[in-house]
Amino acid sequence: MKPAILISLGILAYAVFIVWHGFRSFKSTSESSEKFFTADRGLNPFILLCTTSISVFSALAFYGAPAGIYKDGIGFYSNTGGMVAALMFVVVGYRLWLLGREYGFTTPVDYLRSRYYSDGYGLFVSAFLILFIVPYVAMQLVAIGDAVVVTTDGMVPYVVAVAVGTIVVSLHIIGGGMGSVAWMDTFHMCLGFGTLITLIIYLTLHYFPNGGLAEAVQIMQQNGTYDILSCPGPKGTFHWKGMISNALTGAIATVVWPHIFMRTFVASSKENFRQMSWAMPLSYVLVYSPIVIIGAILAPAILGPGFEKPDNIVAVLSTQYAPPLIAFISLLCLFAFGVSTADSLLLSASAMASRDIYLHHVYELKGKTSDPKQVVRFGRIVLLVLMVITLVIVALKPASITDYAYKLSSPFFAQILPATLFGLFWKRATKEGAIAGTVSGLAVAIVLTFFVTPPLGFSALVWALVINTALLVSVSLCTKVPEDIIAKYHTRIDSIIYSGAELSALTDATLQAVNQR
Amino acid sequence: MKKSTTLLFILFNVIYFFIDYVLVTILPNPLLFGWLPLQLYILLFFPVIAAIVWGLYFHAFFNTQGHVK
Repeated sequence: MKPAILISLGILAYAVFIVWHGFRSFKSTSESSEKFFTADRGLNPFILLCTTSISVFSALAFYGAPAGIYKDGIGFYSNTGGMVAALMFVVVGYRLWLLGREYGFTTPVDYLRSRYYSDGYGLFVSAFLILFIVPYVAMQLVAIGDAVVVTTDGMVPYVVAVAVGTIVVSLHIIGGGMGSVAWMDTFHMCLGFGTLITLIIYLTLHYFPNGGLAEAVQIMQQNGTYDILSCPGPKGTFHWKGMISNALTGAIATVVWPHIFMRTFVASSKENFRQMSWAMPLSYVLVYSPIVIIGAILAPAILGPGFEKPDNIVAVLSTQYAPPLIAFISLLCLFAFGVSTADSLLLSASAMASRDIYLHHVYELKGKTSDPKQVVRFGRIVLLVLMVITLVIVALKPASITDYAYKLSSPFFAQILPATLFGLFWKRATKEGAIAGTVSGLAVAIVLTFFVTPPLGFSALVWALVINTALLVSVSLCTKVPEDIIAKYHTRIDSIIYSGAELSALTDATLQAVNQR
Repeated sequence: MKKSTTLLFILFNVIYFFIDYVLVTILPNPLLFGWLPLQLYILLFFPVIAAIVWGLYFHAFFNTQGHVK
């Protein structure tokens, strides 16, 4: 049998497995929106680690990062921001988790709407987050579709590949909600890491048998690609300003991406955050190191300089420079990264549409009681609608994976970062400040992304966040926060975090004094 | 948590991120072990040090949160 046929059958088996896994828990997740959207807030530390990490590593990480490194050098790795996302997840996430537990929050909008006591602000945030989730999800599916076409030698057409990908991802979430997504993400995390290691070992042993990576670097010194291994890189992109801009785009704001934000609410206990503080940065290192080695050393040494379609280097390496089995393994890895990000983002869009728009505006604001089953049903309908919209977008197929997604989605998700941080840590942050900051940040991001070159070498996102923060702070200083908001979001949470700590310190001091006597 | 511990933790992070975002771009770039440039070494493996420090700090912090069930 031809390798392309075997690979197609393998993809089909994988698709059936994903859908089956989702629909296993269809009945139980239909009972309540809490179960469907938050898995009953019961994810254990290992599952939470895997689902959070792999949801950040998108198809862009597997295809876009090696391509970005090949084009602009190792400075592109700053998109992990020194693993700052892990630090942010614990610092910000613990407070959000406490708030979620106290007040039943499920989505970013739940928190922002309540903290800034504004239904209009909540509606605005949910609308733009949902709007910009779609292109980001579409990019995952475009990457998968392209790779399937290359790997199966064109036997599976692009349209069929993206259609199957979109339907499979959507059905998987419709079936099982957050619980199913989290378990499948854990499977994908193991799959992704395993396949990356296999790919690296094969390419290194096969093409550089006499010295491994040292031989590859020697070849780079001779073929004119050695600049890739230094900052600021071949095109001078990654000086310190480029590094900071890239870190902001790819890492610092990660915690407020809707699907990552939602994961701060689903931890089963505070132990999750204790484990995440060291395990999450290590998981980044484990997964990203092979990706960097592919883009920085293996691809330049094997393909040489000036490869025409750098976005395709991983697909080309795994199909034209490796046997069909490795090509299939590499495709599975892409599936692991792409599907895990796409399903998590779609679920967060569905949660915001059904809970923050439908439930809140149709029921809660009118004082009506909602049926939990009906909310889940609405969430599933939203997923079907998003599936159709995503299919239309993937049919348009924009040119450059990384640029498109980064330009449109990441900077917009990041605009809720100042409101989130100041809302958690600054009592004086007001509704007016949050609205002024978020709206101006979005406006600046649009103008500097599409119409005007950002000044002083910083990216549009950096400027948008600076303006966003400046306006949030200055407008907040001129306006007033209601006392009950301070009591609910600061006094109450501070008392939970610090009163126990103060009590422990007091007990320790008393015991020490007694022992000394 | 003692204030001095928190201050040291903040100082560590300021230095770590300064090295990772800024200093790494201007450091010399000799090859280590015949294949790993110093700048890439810093980008890839300094986060392991950060993971250890963050783990230790938050382990101590969550020990103070015993009352949160």
